[in-house]
Amino acid sequence: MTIPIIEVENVYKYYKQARKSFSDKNKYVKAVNGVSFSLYEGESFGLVGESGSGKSTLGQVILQLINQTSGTVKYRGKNVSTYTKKELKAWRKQVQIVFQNPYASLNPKKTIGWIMEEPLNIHRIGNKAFRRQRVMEVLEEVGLDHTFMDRYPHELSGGQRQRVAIASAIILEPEFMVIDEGVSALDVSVQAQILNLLKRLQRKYRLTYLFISHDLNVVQYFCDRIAVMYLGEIVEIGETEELGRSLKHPYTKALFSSILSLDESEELKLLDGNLPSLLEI
Amino acid sequence: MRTPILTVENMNVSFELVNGNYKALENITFSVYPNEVVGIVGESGCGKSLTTQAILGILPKNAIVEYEKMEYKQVSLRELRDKDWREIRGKDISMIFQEPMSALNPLITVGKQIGEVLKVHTSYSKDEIKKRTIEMMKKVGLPRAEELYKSYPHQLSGGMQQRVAIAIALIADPDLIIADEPTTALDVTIQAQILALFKKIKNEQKSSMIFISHDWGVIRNICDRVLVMYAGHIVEEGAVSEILKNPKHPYTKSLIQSIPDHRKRGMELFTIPGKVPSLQDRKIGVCPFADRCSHCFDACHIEMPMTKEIEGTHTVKCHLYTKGAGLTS
Repeated sequence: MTIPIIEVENVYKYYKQARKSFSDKNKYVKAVNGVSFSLYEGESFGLVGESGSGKSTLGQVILQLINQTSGTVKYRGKNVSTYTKKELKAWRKQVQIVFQNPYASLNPKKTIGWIMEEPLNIHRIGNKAFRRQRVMEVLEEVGLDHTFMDRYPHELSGGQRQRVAIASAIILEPEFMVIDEGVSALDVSVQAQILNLLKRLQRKYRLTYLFISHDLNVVQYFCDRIAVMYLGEIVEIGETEELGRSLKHPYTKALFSSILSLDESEELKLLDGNLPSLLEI
Repeated sequence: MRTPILTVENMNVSFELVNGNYKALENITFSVYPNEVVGIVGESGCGKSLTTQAILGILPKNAIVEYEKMEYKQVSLRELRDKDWREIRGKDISMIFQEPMSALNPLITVGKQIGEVLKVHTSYSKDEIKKRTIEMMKKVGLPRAEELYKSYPHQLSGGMQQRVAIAIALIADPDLIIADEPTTALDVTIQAQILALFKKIKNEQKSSMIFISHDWGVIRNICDRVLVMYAGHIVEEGAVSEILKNPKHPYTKSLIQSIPDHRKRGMELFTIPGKVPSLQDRKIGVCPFADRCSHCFDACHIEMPMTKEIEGTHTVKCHLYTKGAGLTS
């Protein structure tokens, strides 16, 4: 059995709610409520669920962009909370994140070349000439030519921006990437291009992906294993094919039956009501 | 033959920009029949929203709209004055936008916003308006309508906000509803609920709809007929089931092929090379898709293809069917 690259053990993330008066009891939003799973090298792991189910919070806890209330996250067997500052910085090279909205995640005042060079500067890699060379290489890797280096984000289309976001994530040659709704904002034709790109990069660099999405069609296409989150908990987890064949949890069943199929024989089934507020449970 | 509720013939829209005039829509011709849902599908920037905005007359001032005919129930829309328009918008034709949060006024309670339509278009008393508003809120599936009547948009979830926007669009019982990506911003489970609501409205109120989406799943689920748009042209038109089964235009075919699903796992997804040309880069008088098309031949770069009837209502604008051998694979 291969060793997991990421191990999540009993992770909780509670947010304290502001009290309206002194006599009120403390209330907590249980964004992530006792989650455990492991990610293996080279796999694409899908995390699905509705808005507010805690997918993104979990992704950010794994990268230690927010600290968990309790529980541990291990990277290659080592607890990431015990990292020293120096170790943490070195680890940050290994893990990267791509966000949903490429309009918001790129600095509008900087050129693409500057944005992409920044991670190399932070980690003091190479000299100026080497860094420029590296930026050009990676741009080519994601299907953009070197003329993009002097352009600004607003001159690019949504698909091109997402390519830049992916390029600046892979420039440090990470091992593990969180893709948080990375293709949700794109047209299907562009989405297909980006998904193919991610697959190609995965093969080339042996990347491990945590793929967060609410689009079940995309997740079922892209991921080897899928975990379904509901109200901060993982309610079902399994191999994609197995999961698609025999759904156990009623919520997963309901979620998968609301996929809009192109098949005429399949009728749409409905899940009543809204997701309850996390304060109400 | 049924008479269409909305007819658009040879509509052209161009924009006057600093460095010249640019054509955004060319020869848009289509009809919507009573109790029919017509979908418009295509990538961003193909002119889906623009088409409906031109019909409603809500384009910016630098837009030039030309047409041979644009009629709603035998009334020519473009000859209407602003005053007449106000009578029609909201009451006869209403619109639902993609982002419910930006479509609703954050400072006014949702009850008031829904009731406002009746206040403007009818002579009902205050109590009558409130009664009808609450009825409508219940109809679109808003829970605890009496309580929600007094709440503000930010207090509601995305799905509930969209229901409020739908209630506003429906309360005056319009005959034509234009919905611009109404479920794109919602979760799949909520999307399924909203689509079911639209179906119910179609069956109960016998309204017609124009439904814009880039999601073929949504189109398949709700629409009777679909228009496929590319770079300001309608390139293919026909019954949804027919087009999904038997797409003729290379663009339609590519769009459908690039949809990911579990059956394509492990396979490379089909992609269309290049991107939709911007307004300034469009070529006039030739097939707009020629540069990205893998089946393109000489004629495609020389002239604009004619609309060719495949069978019944299924039409396609592609040289392959007028000059070539058709699309085989």
